[in-house]
Amino acid sequence: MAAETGTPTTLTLKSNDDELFSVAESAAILSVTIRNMVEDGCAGGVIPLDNVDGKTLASVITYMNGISAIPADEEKKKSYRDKFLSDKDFETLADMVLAANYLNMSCLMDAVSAKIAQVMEKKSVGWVRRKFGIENDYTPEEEAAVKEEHKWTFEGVETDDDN
Amino acid sequence: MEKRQKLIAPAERHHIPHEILENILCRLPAKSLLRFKAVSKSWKSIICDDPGFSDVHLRQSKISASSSNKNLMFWIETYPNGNKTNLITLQDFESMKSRKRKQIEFPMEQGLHLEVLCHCDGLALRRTRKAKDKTYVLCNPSSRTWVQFRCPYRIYHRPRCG
Repeated sequence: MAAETGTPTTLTLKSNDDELFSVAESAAILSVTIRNMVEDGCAGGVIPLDNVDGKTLASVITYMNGISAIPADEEKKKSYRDKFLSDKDFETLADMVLAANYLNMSCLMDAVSAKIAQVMEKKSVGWVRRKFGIENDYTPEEEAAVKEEHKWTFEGVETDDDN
Repeated sequence: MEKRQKLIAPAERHHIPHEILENILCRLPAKSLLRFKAVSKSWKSIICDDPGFSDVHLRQSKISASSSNKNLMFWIETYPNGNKTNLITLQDFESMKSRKRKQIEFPMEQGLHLEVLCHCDGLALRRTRKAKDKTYVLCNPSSRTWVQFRCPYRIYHRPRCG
């Protein structure tokens, strides 16, 4: 667990599709889940992360390295997060929010949630159903009534051609 | 067995648990939330029937307003225009000079000539300008909803902000 000398400790993380990643312990412990394993002495070998795939884990590790390299300056951290998430599509963001939740990384969780909200803001009801995999359980009459209640909220909605 | 991840349809893979969904939805503006009531019955119940969610949404709105320096102050004007609509103007207090405004049409009974008495958490309490009239209107410009009520006794008060 503890490094005896000044050399940084490296952890090996394993995704659920068996990809292995090396990451500095100081960056990895941004995840409370991983920090607890390290503190309990369970991080000696490979740390299996059963709920995260390799593509998402690679992205999370990029974030861990990037954010931990920034000194305690909340403004700079915020602008790093904004830049990091700026080019991510909905699918990637959805994978990341689930990974951030599983890894217990509240700063990433909040940033990704805010980004998803920003992406959704002007989207149609149909877009949301498709992207979140939600079945419409209203009858056509019920749906029309709910929409009628707040007609003005359907003004200025982006046209529904997916991406 | 190892390939299980690839066989799952994207929509299913992105099934977002309830608590994470709430954490996303509480960051949306009122307009989007009211529209997304039509997504499904369970979304409607999170948005409308869960008082805990309303609290989180209010708290989150205040956090994001303060972090982006948007101290939204009410600056309400009404223009009875012969229709059943009044025009309300919300003015960002910080950008008074830039005249950045948000105007919304607000359905309201005609002829009330309301003034704002006070406001708190995005709600405004308004009263008719006629001193004898005891009609009050509590309105929420974000959701464009309002309730009208009468106070049975007379109150003397000065406008104030909350």
